[in-house]
Amino acid sequence: MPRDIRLEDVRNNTVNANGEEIKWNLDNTFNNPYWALENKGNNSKRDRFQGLLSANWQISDKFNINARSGMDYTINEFTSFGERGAQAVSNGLGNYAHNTSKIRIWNSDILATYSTSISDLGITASVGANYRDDYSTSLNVRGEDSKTPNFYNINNYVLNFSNESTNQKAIYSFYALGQFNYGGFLYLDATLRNDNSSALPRDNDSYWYHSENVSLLFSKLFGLEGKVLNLGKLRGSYARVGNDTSPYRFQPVFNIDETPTLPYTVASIPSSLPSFDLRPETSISWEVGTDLGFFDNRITLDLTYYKTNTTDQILAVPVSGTSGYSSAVINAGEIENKGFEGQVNLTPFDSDNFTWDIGFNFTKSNSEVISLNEGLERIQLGSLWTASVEARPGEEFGTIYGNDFLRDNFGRKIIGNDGLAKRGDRVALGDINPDWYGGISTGIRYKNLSLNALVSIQQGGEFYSYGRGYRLFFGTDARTVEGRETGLVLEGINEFTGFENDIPTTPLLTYFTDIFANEVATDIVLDASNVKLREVTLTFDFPQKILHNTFIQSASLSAIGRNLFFFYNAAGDIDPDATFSSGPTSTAFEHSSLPSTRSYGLNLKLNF
Amino acid sequence: MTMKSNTLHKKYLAFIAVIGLLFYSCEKRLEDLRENPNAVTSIDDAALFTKAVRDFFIGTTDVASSQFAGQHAHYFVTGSTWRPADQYGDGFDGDYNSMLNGIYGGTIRHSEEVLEITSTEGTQNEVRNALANIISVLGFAKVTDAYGDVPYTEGGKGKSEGIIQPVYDSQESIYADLIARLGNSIAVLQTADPARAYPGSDPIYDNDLDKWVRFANSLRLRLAMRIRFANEALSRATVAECLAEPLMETPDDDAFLIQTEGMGNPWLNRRTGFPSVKMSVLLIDQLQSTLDPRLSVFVNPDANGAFSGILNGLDDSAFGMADFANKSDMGLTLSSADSKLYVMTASEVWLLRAEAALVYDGDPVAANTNYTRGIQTSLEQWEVPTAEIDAFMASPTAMLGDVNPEEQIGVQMWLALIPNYFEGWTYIRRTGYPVIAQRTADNLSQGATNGFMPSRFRYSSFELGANTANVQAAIERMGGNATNTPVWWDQN
Repeated sequence: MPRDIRLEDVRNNTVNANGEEIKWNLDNTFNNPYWALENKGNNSKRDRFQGLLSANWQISDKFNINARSGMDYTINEFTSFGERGAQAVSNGLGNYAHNTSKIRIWNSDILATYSTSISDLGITASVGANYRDDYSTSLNVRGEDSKTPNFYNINNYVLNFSNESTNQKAIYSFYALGQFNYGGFLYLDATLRNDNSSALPRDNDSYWYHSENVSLLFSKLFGLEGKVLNLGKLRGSYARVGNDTSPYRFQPVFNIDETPTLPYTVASIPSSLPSFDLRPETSISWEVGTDLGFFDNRITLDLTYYKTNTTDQILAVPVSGTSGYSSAVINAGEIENKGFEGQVNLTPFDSDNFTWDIGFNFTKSNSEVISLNEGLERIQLGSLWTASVEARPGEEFGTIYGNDFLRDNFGRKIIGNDGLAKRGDRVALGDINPDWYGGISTGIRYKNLSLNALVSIQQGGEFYSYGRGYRLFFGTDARTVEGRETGLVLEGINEFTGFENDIPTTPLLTYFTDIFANEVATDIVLDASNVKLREVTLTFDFPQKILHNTFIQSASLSAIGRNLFFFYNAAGDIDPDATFSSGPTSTAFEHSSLPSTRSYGLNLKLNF
Repeated sequence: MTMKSNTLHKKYLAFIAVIGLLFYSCEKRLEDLRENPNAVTSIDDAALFTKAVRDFFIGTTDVASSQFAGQHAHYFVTGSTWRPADQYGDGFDGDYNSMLNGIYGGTIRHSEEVLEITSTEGTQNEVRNALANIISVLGFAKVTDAYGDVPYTEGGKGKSEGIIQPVYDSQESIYADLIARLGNSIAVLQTADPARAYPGSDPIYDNDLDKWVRFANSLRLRLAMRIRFANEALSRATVAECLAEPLMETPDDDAFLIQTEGMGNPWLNRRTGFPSVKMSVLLIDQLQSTLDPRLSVFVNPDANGAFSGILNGLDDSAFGMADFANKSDMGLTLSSADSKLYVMTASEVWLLRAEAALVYDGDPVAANTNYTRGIQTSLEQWEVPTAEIDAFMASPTAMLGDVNPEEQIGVQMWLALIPNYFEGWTYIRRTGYPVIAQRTADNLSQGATNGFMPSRFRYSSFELGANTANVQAAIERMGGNATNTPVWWDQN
């Protein structure tokens, strides 16, 4: 809400003599918030039932059959209403909606397990089968144009609309597992699984998983365990994972339109093009690593290198509208993700009264698009306003594209005779993946008092902040103060003379033109690098002697502060964690999110 | 074989049978679940034909018209975030993409499917095919008029041919084919049995094939005149063919639709909703200065009972002083829930004939007859009282002079095309009439076109990324991808 409007004026003037909402601006999209407080609302209710039946048949002490069948059933009810009298609510007619949905997941397993040991060799082998059946249905009704005020029931509305949808999917699978260990130093796990899914076409509905894990306690095998090295483990794994998708993505269909007033039938073709020969997704990964412990685990070190190649990822990718369709379901291509993770934990002091732990972790991960199918040169993974996050072969998965300023060969902005910059080409302005993540955690304990802290570090990665954009062109960002009284001369060269620009303009016109009218994204793609104090906890453990004669076994009182402050934040006033969507590109966009909050709390823990 | 092993064998057999049965029932279950319960897999193409037709009519109120064409053609000015279009601004990347999706995903997607069904053995029907061709032509004509070169031969073939990166065709070749297709449809429909058309499922002419022939032929005349400055030979030859066949002559022949679904005619929401639409000074001045009785049809008086317009193209500070909110709304006849949505009218056809008589036949007498007929038909279409029609028809405006008769026809065409604002803009682009002056005044915004009315929509950055090579080829052919890059027929 603009600052020149007093909230009390808005509060004291909600309804006019005709019973209509009094708005604070000419737009019909926004309500008077105080009118909305009284006249709009919604209700959400959820019932959930869960049940599990299980039978175990212990045939012998080595052989065991277990069968389980469980159901999870959820019913959601959602209603919302808006009174008559506000343009923003169905053109002043008032509206009401009632949505009901049911979700049922039924999962059944049967598993036969045989375990034995032959001298130093321990073996556990299992075979099993699984059946999973998902069902969900929703029925939504909506009414517009209320007949009597303050009555929210579908019968009270002149116009009624409804829609219904049902989704069903089943997967059956067979699997086998084997675990072997030898001499307490060599462990081998292997799994094999076959899934058959109704979400894939008949010819491609079966896919395989397998995994092999080996770990070797070499410190034990070679007898190296001693004062210095107390644990030495090498591990390696290889896995193949298959995946299906949501149902009904390979069959062309026609929807019947809801047309209560028409004497003829209207049908429509969905805007997403189905894939007639959809294949399952496959991801193949391997990793190697080591876990080392020194000086009785006073120093531990874990290192892992991994690589995952995902192929045929099933996506509804936006395609050129000139195909007649706005998206197409495809097996997208191949993405390679590889990285390195390391963790060091130290305990420099450890005594009865005083302990100090400190841990460092480090993750570096890269996601590269290897190839795209169907002749696509890029896939748009998400977009906001005029920025998009894309996958293009040879680039990071999640590169941010947007319009840059028009520039000369030296990168200087070209400025027009109105003193304003111009829109240039669409280029890569960043990517959502950080160069690396890190974390530092530490804990200090003195007698019954302990202090823990957690610091997170992100280096690199960018995000697009339309919230920053809004504040710049609405003039509510401190950066827009510069030149407000005196005029602003933008850095760059004049379009016609080639000399340094000396034509002044105003911050208002600059930011509105750059960001809104010219849709230039450069200034609102922000560096996500930050160092944040995520959590500090101070805990007092009540001494046993106080609790000695009570029924309380242990007790502690903690003061906790979360999300405390940034040691460093490249984006300044915006928390890079406050981005708004979900999915693989969730960190890409910030859209006027509420500022993230700092929280403090007290925590009393009693064990009886 | 011992008894024991026999029982064991039986046990194994039973086990295998149970597993087999389980396996079979699972497979059966999966197969059942593959059917989408929310939709059907086959349908009478009548339901897709109604969709394609309705989409085109409702599309006359789309963003292309309400945010762009209506402002470019100086019919009205919109407020808030849509106003940069009136300032000839150069943003709207997302709009350019959604408009392309809108036309291809609506009329074209559904008419393509009808064309496919009606030409497939078993469901073949040449009458329905001919009707679907007319609707398809409407869709492609609009999209090429908006952007210039567009995918045509491969356009809209995502499902039928699996093409998701269609080749762009030149507007010249598209127009030639659109004109040919309409010729074929007219030939088929002239001798067709209406029972094989869409009885009960025709949203505009109630399956009256004579009216469909008139409509198709009139549309063909419109397309033929559109290429007047780009391919005069084809234009002339086609116009001659069109004049030899029946054309739309009275408002009874008009192609209109009344949207009864939802909130009714979307212009209602544009009048009462957001961003607001206020009628332009240029339009009101024209109607007022000629005492045109359509003034109160097209424009609603303001709160003081006066017809007050807003100037197009005001810059931000001038707009701030312009009292936009209190200017005249679009007329209630155009913007009520049950207002008609027009795609083509008899008055437009008479005015096209006036132009053809004037420039192709060099016959100013016939031109004047057609011109007056065009104005008269427009007044009748809006149910102007007879006395007012007579008075206006007796005024000098209703008589073609010899100073600049093409401009006179142009101004009347601009008025006759209301509320089909997109066609209004297209007409001005082709003929230059009515004259939309270059913006040079200090309080006007020159935008990205140096103050000239924009000539087209840009290909969006999404399209440039999703169909790169093909769009680039089109841009090269057209000589650019700016809002002032003229389309092929815009050679005047």
